[in-house]
Amino acid sequence: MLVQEYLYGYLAISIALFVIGMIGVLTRKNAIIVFMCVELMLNAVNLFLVTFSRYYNDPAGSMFVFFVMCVAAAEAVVGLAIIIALFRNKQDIDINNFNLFKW
Amino acid sequence: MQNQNPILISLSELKIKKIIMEFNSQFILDTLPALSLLGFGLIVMLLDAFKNEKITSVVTILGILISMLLAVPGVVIPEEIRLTFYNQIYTGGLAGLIHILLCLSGLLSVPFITDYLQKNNQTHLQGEIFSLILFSSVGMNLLATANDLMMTFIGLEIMSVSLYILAGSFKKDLRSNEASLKYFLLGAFASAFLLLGISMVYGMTGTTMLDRITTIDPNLIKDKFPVLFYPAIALIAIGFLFKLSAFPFHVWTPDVYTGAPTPLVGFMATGSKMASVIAFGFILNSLLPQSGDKLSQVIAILALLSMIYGNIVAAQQQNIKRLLAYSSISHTGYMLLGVAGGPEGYKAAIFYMLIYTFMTIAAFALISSIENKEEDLNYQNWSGLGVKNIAFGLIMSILMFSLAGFPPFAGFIGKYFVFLSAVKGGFVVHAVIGILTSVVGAYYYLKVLVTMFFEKPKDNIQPKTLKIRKNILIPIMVLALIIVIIGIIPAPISSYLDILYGKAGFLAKL
Amino acid sequence: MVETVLFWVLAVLSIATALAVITNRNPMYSVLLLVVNFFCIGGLYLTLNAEFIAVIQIIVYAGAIMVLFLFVVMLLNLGSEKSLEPAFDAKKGLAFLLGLAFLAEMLVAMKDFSAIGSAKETFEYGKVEKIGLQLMTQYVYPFEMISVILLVALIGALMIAKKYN
Repeated sequence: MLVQEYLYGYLAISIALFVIGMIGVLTRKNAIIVFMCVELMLNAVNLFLVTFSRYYNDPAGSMFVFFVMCVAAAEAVVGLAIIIALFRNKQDIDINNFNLFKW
Repeated sequence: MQNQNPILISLSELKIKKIIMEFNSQFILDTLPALSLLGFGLIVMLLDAFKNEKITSVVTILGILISMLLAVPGVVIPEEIRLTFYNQIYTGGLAGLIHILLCLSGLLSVPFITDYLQKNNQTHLQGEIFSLILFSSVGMNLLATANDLMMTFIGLEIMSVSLYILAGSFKKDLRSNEASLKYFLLGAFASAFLLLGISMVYGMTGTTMLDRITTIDPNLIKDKFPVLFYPAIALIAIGFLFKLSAFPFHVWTPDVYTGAPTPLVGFMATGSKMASVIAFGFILNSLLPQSGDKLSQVIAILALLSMIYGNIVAAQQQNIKRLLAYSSISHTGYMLLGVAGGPEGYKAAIFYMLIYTFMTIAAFALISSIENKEEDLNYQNWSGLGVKNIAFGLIMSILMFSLAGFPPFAGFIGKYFVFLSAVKGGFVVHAVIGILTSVVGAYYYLKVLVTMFFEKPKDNIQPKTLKIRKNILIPIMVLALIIVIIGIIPAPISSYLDILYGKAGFLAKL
Repeated sequence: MVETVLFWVLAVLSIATALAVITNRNPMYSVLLLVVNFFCIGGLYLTLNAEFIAVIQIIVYAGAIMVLFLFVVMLLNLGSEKSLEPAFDAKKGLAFLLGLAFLAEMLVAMKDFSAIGSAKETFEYGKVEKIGLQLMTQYVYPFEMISVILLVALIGALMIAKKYN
């Protein structure tokens, strides 16, 4: 069974993806890319959950992934709407150029 | 037989009939408070679609009141808290009280939001904003009464997504846009950490149900996963500390509170914090092996840092909204000290949160009443305002004294219970430092009052509107009166909380 | 054997594309690389026998969410981030170190999972009927409540992104 042999492998991949997303959020300046990195982090967690769902043969983990995907879709819609509203007023979505408040 | 649909065969194997029989109409009755909020949210949305904007605020208030009333029976006849809906959430008793407390912040902010929207010619937003407030209250309810960590996450997200939108609801205002984007990006980032923590707990225990995890016995989990145990819970804590704007995770708070529409900040600052405090205390105490654990010590230290940082930085602020934002960081510190202090402290934190709700909503409402342009928010421009407008000065004094924690106002009682429980829980040093920081806090609250009462008025820079508009004067006065009354006779409320708390079986472990 | 090869290919590919997403200066390429990354994760779900989740990963994430991102990137017509900006500065270095420390800590902590025993032989957890049944019984309340968040997103998007008059 793959999951038995590679449990650590699956977990390491998802943690690595999570950390890559985290570094992206901390270093990138474009609001859309920052948000994409957050989506990457959510995906990493999903992989983590599915691995354990398979491991325990327990549908609860898959259910959680299903809900996380719904939440991610909702967040994507709201986040992009906010970005568009900001762009209309400012013509710029570089998070370092938020002059009204310091980042 | 051979031609039978394979899906049907496997379904019959799983005994679907039996499971359907288990669905109980009692489930619907138990969750009726939350469901009715949801229903009224839909009604408000539809009313807005048919251009009946004016009555949306009335319907919202009515909806929240009905939802609170539905929770009352389980609270008045103190009943045991119990699980419902396939053990997904808690209901009855303390859970009912929590629902009522969470609804309060929505209920109290509706009149002020209506007035603010009228003042800024944004009445077309009424329908959206009020339905979002109702939906966000549903999210708070789910978050605070969840038994399944899945439910916690969903509740948290419903609440936060609504709040991101509410923060950016004045879309022509650049400050509102930026506040919203900042809140959104950092909020989504923090919830990813929360999610990682939850998934690790799932990996360790094989379940996300808190009651089952408690029966497994956290000590066993800790022994089995010595390295992973604390990081996993710490990740969950990061997610909640962010929502609570505790010290190292506070960066968004000042900007979001400054940028978002003023009366909406009152709602954002109170309801979401109360729900997060309740859920955080519950989850922390379910997952940690014993109260006074290593991690609760860390949280107590973070609480202290929040108090110190919030109070010191607030003292340097000119903008009153920013000042209140930093002061809210310090108030988070007081609540967290309660959460870290075991069962007694958890109760004190809920009580503190109730009082904080009244004070903060009233404070932001009062500010919004004189706000016309950005300079009006600088309290240096308020010189002589207290003498010119007695009602404004008087209510502001009550709120500031209460926020600073002076007797005989409610803020003092809240702080008293928190520090008392901290001392009982063994956090004596923390309590002493906390009291010292609240003295620092008193300095800047009083500075506002000194400017308002004892400095000579400078006419050219004063806010144009000095009168509190009639339709919000009465609600603000009622709030001020409640603060004074709780301050003088806190006994009925706190003893009632004790009774319900005693009935809360799920807290027995703490 | 096939599964093992698939696992390694997908693992390397998903990490590589993720790294490319955060290092690429053109937002358009980043979006497309992220789509590839989501496909890889979908493939990893298949190696874990989670067919249903794999399918909605492709449909919802790669198909719907990323297309939305693509639309917005094209709508805003964003160029590359300023090339004058230093590729590496103190803040980025700090973030990078922080990330590495977190990764190392977590990788060490993950070793604890050897304590959870062996995996279950059966894997019907990912079957559509099993998930559907669970959604309509045990998880019916969260399932209904997830509709609230979608409704909120709908209202929010209309309210914020609608053109003002």
